[in-house]
Amino acid sequence: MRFGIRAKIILIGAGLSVALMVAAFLFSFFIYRERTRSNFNQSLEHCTAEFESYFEDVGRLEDISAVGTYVRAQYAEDPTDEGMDAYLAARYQSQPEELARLSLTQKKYVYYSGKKYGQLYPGGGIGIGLSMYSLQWRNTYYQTSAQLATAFATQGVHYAFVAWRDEDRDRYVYLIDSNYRLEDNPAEGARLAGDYYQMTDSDGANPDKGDKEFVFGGHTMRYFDLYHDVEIEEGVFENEYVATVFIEYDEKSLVQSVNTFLYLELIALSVVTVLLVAAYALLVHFALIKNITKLTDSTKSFTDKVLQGDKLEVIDPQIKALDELGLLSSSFVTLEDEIIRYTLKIESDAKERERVNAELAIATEIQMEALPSPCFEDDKARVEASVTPAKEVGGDFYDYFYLDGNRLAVVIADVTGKGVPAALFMMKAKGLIKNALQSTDDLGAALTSVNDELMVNNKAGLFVTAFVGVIDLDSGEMTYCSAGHERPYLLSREGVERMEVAPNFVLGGIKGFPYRASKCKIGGKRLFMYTDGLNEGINSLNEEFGYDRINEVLRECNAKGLDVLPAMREALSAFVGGEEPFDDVTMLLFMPKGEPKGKSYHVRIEDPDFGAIEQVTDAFNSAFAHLDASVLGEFDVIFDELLNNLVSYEKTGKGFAVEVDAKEQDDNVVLTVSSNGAPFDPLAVKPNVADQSLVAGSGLGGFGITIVKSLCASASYERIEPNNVLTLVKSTRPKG
Amino acid sequence: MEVRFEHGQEFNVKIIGRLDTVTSAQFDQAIKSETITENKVVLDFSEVEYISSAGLRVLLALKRELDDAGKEMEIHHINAVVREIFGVTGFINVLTVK
Repeated sequence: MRFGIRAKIILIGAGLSVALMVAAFLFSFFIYRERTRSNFNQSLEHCTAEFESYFEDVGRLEDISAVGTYVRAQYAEDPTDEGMDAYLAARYQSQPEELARLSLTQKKYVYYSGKKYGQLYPGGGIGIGLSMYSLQWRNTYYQTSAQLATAFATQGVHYAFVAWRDEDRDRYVYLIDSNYRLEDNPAEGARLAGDYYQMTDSDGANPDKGDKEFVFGGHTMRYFDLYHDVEIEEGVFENEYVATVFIEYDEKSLVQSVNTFLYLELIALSVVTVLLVAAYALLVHFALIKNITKLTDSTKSFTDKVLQGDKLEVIDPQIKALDELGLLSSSFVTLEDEIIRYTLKIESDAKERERVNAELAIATEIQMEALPSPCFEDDKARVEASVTPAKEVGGDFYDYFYLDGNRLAVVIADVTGKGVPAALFMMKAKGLIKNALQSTDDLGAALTSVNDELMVNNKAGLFVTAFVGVIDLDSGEMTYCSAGHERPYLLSREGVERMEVAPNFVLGGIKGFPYRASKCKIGGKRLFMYTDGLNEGINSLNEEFGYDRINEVLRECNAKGLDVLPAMREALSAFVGGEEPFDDVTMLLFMPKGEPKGKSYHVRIEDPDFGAIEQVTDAFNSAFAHLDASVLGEFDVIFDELLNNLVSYEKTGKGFAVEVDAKEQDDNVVLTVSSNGAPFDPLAVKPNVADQSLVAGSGLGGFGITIVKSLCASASYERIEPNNVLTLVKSTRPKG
Repeated sequence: MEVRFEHGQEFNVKIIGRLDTVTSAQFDQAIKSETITENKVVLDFSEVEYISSAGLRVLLALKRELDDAGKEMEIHHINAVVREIFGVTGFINVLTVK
C-alpha cells in the first residue's frame, strides 16, 4: 500500500497530537513563567521584610551603627599598631585559645573597637566591640544573612550585603556580606567590612531619590535603607539612618530556571506524544486498517482472477468485526458467489450458443444445397439466381426445373418468419411445389393441392408466398400463378415493365383456396423475379429500396447490357450501406435464348504495333457497317487510344497479345479488350497537362483514357490473371 | 490522312482524314517541314473525322511553339466528335476554336 488509508489516518492522528502537545506546552509555559515571576517578587518582598525584621528583632542596629561610626572614623587609617598584640594578649589573657582562633582582621576589629571606641565612648567601646564579635552574635548575624541569601538564591537572589552610605566621601562602605564566612578565609568575592564602593562606580541611583534598584559593579541590586533610633552620648536620635541592605538578584537565573523547566517539559510532552501516536497507530491498525487491507487484498486477487480468466473461487476476507467492514466483507463474499455462478452460467450459455450456431450454419448449408445451381444454361434458356441470406437461416428459395424437354418451371418463394421453423417449412414447400408441378399440367390445381397440403398440421401457422412460372420455350408462352408474391419484371428491347399479376393468396393461408393460373407471351423477354427482401431493403434513414429503384437498375442494365443480378446486388448494398440485412434477398432471372439480337466481333492480335489500330478499326467498321458513321468514328477513337496505350506502355515483348471482343446488345456495343501484359489499370491514369513529354508518336498521357471514358456509357477494369480486362459499354445511337 | 498547306495573309492548313496515333505523327512531320512566316496559322478541321490524344499532343506542341514565336493559331470547322473530345480534355479552353 503506497500512501494508503493507514498512512492517512496515522498522519492525521499524529498531526492532532503534535498540535495538542504544542498547545499544552505553550499554555504551561505561560502559566509557569507568570508563576515564577510572582514567586520571585514575593520572595524578594519576603527577603526584604526578613532582613528588616531581623535587624529589628536582634536589635543590633546599634551595633551596625556603631561599626559604621567606627569605620567612618578610623577604618581608612593605617590599621597597624604595635600596641595591638599587647592589647589583645591582655584582653584575652584568660581565653588564649579564643585569641588564637581570631583572624588578623578580627584582631584588628577587636583592637580598634576596644581601643578607639573606648576612647570615643569611654567605658562602652570595648563592650560594643566585644558584643559585635561575640561568637553567638557573629554566628547568628552572618549565618542568618548567608542563609537568607542562599535561600533566596534559588529564587534569583544569590548575594546580599549590608553597607553604610558614607555621604561625605560619596561611597558605600561594606559592613557585612553574604559571602562572608566565620572562618578566617572568606569566600571568593567576599567583601570585608571597611571595603567600599565608590558611588561613582554605580549607575548613579540614589535611594534618597526613591530609586529601588542600583547597578553596582555590573550587578543589579535591589536595596533599601535601614533606620533605627540611635542612642549615643549626645542623646537618642530617632529613626536615624543606620545602613543599607543590598540584595542582588539575577533575572538570568530566573530565565534559566524557566528554560530548564521548559526543556524538561518538552521532553516529557514529546515522549507522551510519541507514545500516544504509537498507541493510536496500533489501535487504528487493529481496529480498522487490518480489516481494510484484508478486504482490498481479497477484492484485488478476486478481480485479478476475473480479469485473467482464471478459475474462480470465493475468497473470504475473513473479517470478524461487527462493524461496517464486517458487513462489507460478508456482502463481498455473497457478491463473489454470485459472480462465480453467473460466470459459469455465461460460459455454459456461450458453449450452448456456439453449438446451436454451428448447427444453424450446417442447416443453412443444407438449405442452400437444396437449391439448384445459381447459373444454368442450355441452348434454349439461361437462368441466373442469387440468394443473399440475412444473418439467420431464412425461408427464401428459388427453383427451376424442366417439366419436359420444352417446358421450364421457375419458382421463387418466401416463407414467413425466419430461423429454423421457416427453413423447415421452406424445404417442405419446395418439395411440394416441385412434386405438384410434375404431377399435373394444371398450374392452378397444382398450387391448390400444395396449399391444401401445407394446411395439414400447420400448427405454427406458417405460410409462403410464391411466384411460379411455367415457360414454353418453343412458343415463348408463360403460364404463371402468383401466390401473394411480389410481381416480377419483364425486360425487353422496348424497356422494362412490371407484370400485372392476379395475386391469388398465400400458400398455407386458407384451406381450399382455388388458385388460378394466367398466361402471357414473354417471347424474347427476360423475366426478373425476386423476394421482398429486395424492395424492402432498408437504409439507415429507414427508407425502403422500393420498386422505383428496382425499375431504375433494371432499365440501366437493360440499356447498357449489364448483368442484372450483380448490378442489383450492388445497388442494394450501396443503398443500405452498413445496415445489417433484415431479410433474405433472393432473385431469379430467366433469359430465353433465340436468334442473336446484334452483331458481334472478335479479333486477336499477336505482338501488336501501331499498325494494329488500323487493322482493328477497319475490321470493326466493316462488321458494324450498319451503325452511323459518326458513331463508327467514335469507336475508331476508342480503339486508337486503347491500342496506342497497350502498344506504348503495356507491351512486354514476345508473347504479348491483345484480344478485342465486341457484342451488340440493343442500343449498345459491349467492348472487351484483354491483354496479357503486367497488371495495369489504364482507367486509373489521371491527365496532367503540365507534365507531358512531347515525344512524337506517343499520346498525350491520360487524355486518351479521358476521351475513351467520355465516349462510353461505362468503363471498368479487372485483372483476370494473366490478363488486364477492360470492359466498355458504348451507345450506338448517334449524338445530337 | 492528307495535309494541304496554303501560304498567304494567313498560313492555312487543311487536314483531311483522321488525326490518330499514326497520322498525327505524319502531320507533325509535315507541318514541321514548313517555314511559317505568317503571324497567324489557321487549321481547317472541316474534313477531320476525329482526333486522338496523339493528335492532341501535336496540336499542343504546335500551339506552344507558335505562342513562343508570338504567333496566333486558330482551328476552324470542327465536327461534333472533335468538339466533344476538345471538351472533355479541356482543350476547348486552351485552343482558339472557330
